[in-house]
Amino acid sequence: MIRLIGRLDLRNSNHIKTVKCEGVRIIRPLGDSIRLFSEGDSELDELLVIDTVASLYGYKNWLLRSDCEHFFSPIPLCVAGAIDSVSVACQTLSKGADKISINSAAIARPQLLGEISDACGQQALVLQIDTRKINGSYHCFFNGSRELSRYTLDEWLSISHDYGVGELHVTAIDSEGTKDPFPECLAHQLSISTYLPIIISGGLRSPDYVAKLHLKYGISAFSFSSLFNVCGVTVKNLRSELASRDISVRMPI
Amino acid sequence: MIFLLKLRSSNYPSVASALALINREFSIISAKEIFNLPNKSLLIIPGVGSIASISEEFFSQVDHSSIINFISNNEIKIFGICLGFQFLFSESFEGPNCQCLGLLPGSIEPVHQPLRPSVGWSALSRSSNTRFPSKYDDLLLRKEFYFTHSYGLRLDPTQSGLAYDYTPEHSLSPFVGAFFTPRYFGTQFHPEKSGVNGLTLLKSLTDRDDF
Repeated sequence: MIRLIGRLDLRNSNHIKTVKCEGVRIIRPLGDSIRLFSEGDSELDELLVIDTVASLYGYKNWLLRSDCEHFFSPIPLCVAGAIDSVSVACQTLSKGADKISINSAAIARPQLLGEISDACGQQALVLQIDTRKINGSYHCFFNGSRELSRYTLDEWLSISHDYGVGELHVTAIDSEGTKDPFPECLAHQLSISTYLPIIISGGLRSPDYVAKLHLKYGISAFSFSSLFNVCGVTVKNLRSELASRDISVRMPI
Repeated sequence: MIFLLKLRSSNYPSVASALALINREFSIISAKEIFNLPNKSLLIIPGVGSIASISEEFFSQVDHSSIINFISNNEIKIFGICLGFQFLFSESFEGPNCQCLGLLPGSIEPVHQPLRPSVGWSALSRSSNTRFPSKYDDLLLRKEFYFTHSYGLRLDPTQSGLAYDYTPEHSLSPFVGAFFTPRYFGTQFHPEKSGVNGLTLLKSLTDRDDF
């Protein structure tokens, strides 16, 4: 069954729209977006909140900064941003995240993935991979997609298997927030390179294209930012369009 | 009375929030406080993590035979969620030396080989060991629930009890998604994370008229 995930990039307390992983404008307060996409006609299957500048400015992620003792989401919630130790991962999960997503700290020290997986459970660990093609092959970036790492995509995928990662969230940097679609060659490479559940993000701007990537490459989880906030497609419409193509999709209402 | 078991190795705060959202009164207790439960109480055991973590923490507080005797003699009903559901059974391949409650017969096995989590939403079917409509059909059938687990109870059609099964993606075998006996029941999925359908189910399973 396809998973439709709301990607909420966060700066301060606002859900922002990003282009190539850089923030460009405010969409609405984060709390409003979480409520919007976790109930009613717009109920999605999961939410991913990415604190875009927590690492850059050296502060804790949104959930750890919040005043509430525990944040409840009636659908699964994944939190990303400044997850750089086992204790931060555990604290974030204790405060209401169901999963945590990590990128920069894992690239700096891949062993951290195994440590978090052992402490928190493989199912709670998502590896965020921001990737773009350089000289014909995909490479991995970190620090908000601004810096090139030493890993190619294939190398990093192989390492993630060794360290007990539960899922992969792969963003095509050059498609993110643009009119360029998520590259089919990347979808193909992912489909043959890993048995882990894959979530893809960037350049998913129509139900037709989502259906194509699912049917042709077996991608079964999609993380959306522009589709619902810029392109004017509703969650209900997306579910109906996918179901009309005999694609297994949740119909919560 | 509804009681929610507090263990470090669980997402009991999420279950607590969900219960509050559906206006259920409940109390949060530790394992050793189970001995104080009134007759015929409902105990919810949530769980996230590993069988070793729940087993170590639980049995560091209580003795196995004492707690089983108390549960049985006082007709305590138990609702297990995810790891809490697995904990109801005899053993788990995830931790062969870890003690489980053993209130229900069965072994918890890996869902996939090589081992990896089964994550996502699935619909359930009534398994072949049940022939008659059940009050749970409307709540469970033709609806999707959220699963995230690496181990599960493989469906055994000979096992007594009402089972609803599902087949994880890329698996050839069905696993139990929900299981009911008169006193012990549970879900492999997380009703507190399954949106509107999960909250509706949670409300029904914690209905005071039902236990």
